[in-house]
Amino acid sequence: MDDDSGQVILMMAIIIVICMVVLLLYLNQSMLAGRSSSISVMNFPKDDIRELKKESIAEAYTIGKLVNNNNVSDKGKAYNDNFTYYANNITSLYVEKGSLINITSTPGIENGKIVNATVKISYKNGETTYSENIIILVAD
Amino acid sequence: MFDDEGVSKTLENIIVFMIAFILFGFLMFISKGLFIDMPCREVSSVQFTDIGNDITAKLVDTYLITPDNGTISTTFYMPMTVGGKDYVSDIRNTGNGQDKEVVVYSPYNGVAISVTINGVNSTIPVNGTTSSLAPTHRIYYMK
Repeated sequence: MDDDSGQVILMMAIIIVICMVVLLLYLNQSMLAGRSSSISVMNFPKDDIRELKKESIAEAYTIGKLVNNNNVSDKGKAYNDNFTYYANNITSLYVEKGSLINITSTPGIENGKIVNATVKISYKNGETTYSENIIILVAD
Repeated sequence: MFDDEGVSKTLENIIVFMIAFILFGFLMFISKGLFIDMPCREVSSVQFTDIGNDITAKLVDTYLITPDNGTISTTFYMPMTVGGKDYVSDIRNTGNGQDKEVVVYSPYNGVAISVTINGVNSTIPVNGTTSSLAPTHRIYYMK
């Protein structure tokens, strides 16, 4: 008589091993789920662009108002000088973040006072480009 | 002990062989579906959901910062193949016809995943299509 007890133990071992391999395959697939969408959300420069826009509008408005209140003869030149100074600074800040921006502004002058300012913003990083023209009314 | 007087060794062999043959043949018949198509569909649906979420997230993010007077353009990444085959991503009307959804589907195995873009379409109309084989995938807005 052969000693063939313990067949069920061997059989169960094989079944459990197969089950574990199948589970492992499914786990492996689910590890990758959601990876690329979360990377994409993190990389999108939504807040950078918002901040840039907000700061530029605030800056153009403030400079316009200050120039209007100051007693300078060439208001257009004073505005441009100040805005270029701001633009250079913020460009250096954004270069540190890895994006290239370009901001220019043209004041609209009526009766020797700045009444509005056109701000052109352009933003580029590797995957997103953004450009906008904003006209800001400057109150005096 | 079993009483196996009525069955000879030869007949037993033949019976066992026949049963094994039938089982094996059946297994061969369904093996492609079981071991190749089913995992492929599983992988496709997981990956398509991811890609659909990716596109929707990008669309909504782009929508949130759309300029009043300007342009915005952003590229996104899609793997060239999923489960060894290319696939297409579309923007279609939803079933109720009031909204749009991103549909990622494969014409090869019929897996289609749709992710809704909640309400974006009501303020800014969205449409477009791209194939995974295209060199770049881009979301573009101009006003």
